[in-house]
Amino acid sequence: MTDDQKAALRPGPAATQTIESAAGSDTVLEYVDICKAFPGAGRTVVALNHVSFPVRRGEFISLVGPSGCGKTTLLRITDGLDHPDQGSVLLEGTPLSGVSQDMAYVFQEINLLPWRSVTKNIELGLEARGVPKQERRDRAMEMLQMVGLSSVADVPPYTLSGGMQQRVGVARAVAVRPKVLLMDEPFGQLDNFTREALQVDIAELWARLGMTIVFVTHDVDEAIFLSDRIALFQPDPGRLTEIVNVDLPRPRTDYDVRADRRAIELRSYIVSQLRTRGGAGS
Amino acid sequence: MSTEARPAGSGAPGFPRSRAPLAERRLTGIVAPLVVVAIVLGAWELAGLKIDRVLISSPQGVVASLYDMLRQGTVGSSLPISVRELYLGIAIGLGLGVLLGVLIGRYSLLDSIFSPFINAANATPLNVLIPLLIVWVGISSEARVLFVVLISFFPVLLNTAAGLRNVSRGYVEVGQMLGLNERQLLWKVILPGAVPYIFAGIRLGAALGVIGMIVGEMEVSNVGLGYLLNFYGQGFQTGRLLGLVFLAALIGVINVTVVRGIQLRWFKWITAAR
Repeated sequence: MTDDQKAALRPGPAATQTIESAAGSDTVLEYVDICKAFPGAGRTVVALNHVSFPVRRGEFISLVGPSGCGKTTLLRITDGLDHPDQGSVLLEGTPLSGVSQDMAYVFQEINLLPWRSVTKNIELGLEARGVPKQERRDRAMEMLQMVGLSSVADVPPYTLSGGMQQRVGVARAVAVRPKVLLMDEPFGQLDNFTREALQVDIAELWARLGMTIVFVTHDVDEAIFLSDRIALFQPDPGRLTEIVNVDLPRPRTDYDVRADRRAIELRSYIVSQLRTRGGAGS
Repeated sequence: MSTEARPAGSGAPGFPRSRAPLAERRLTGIVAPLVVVAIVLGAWELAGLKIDRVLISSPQGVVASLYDMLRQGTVGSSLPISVRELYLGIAIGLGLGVLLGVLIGRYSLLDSIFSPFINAANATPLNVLIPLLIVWVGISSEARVLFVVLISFFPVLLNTAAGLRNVSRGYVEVGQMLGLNERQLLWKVILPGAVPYIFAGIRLGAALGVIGMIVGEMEVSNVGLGYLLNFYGQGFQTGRLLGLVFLAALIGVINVTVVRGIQLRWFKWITAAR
């Protein structure tokens, strides 16, 4: 592929801003020069090397890259579960310290608490916010209805299938009405059919609620189907290399995205970028 | 102990590992031990015919002695005293064990201060403290209760502390992510997450408490089952002695069964979630 062809494939000029110092008013979240290293025996792993980019209000952005590229670390830093060695995360212009009440996290390891019923799991974040009992219950039921699980409200979570458990995981996070929803390979442990069903559901949920979603995955198709923008990460040291605009019409459930010509172009561009820049080991 | 193990797939409901069907399991669970008991009793009965009664007695002899002791009121006058002291001691021991276990498991400063002493005390045969207990509170009911407390306290303390330290990191992060403060995290995530360990400790404490009771009574009293054990032992009344041994074992089994029943009734997730 020639450079011209690459340039043609590359999304428009507005899309390839890897670093934006002055965030616009439509920016909800901004990463400023994030660095994080994990000292290990023998060698130190640089998980994130000077990562800066803005997340726009209401957008669905995916962080994509091979394992070890720091995408999960960045997500954990966003929610205050990890701390950067350098740099900061700005939520609506204010630097975050500690766990933010304005964000919620969907883990790959769902970890529903087995001693609580499904609704009680969803209510946990509302308990932390001092929401009264009746309202907690109402909101939990509303969430369950939204993810299509009203019938299992009072059962223990370990009786649910993996896909149902992750729906509860999503409901638990969305229940606290976060400004930004962080999702860390949420469908990574599910089988193909369940994963595709959940992808459709999360796309609809996002469209309905108007939340900002930061989504970590190593599945390029998943990222293309869901995202407005895809941030490409490379390992060793973990860094952001490019942000790709996904200029496909929505809703994408109306047509077969995988067969769409533009989607195929995007896919091969992303895959080639992840390959060529990966260097050794990929 | 892994509380994280989940069925890794899939659309299939998260059933536990496949085992033999329930009815079959129940049958083997009841029949197998009964067969063993029958064999042991049979062998014992045969041995009782050959060996001196003073050394071994026989199942029949033991049952007869037990019946005699019940009829004569020997057991009736001793058992309530033993049982009262036992359960008072166990209750205090478990309560203190859980309380201090939570403090030590939660606050690493307390852990580093007290751990050496706790480990030393736990490694010491606690009988050595009996003379000291007698010096403090005399040859009395209090001394025996205190000894039961001492015996049942340590397993609960150590297990509770270990339970708090071993709560799945994933559960704790869920709590942190949802914005629970430290107090909420303790009450809503860490303590419930430690319950499997706490129950293991309580089961041990409730069983070991019986040892505390018997030893306490053998050393510090003229009442109770332990005292009777001494008495019949010195009088070479082996049948009665073994009858009392059977009673003591029964109390231990009842304790463990009750704790297990509570766990299965109100904390079903401990067994089901794995």
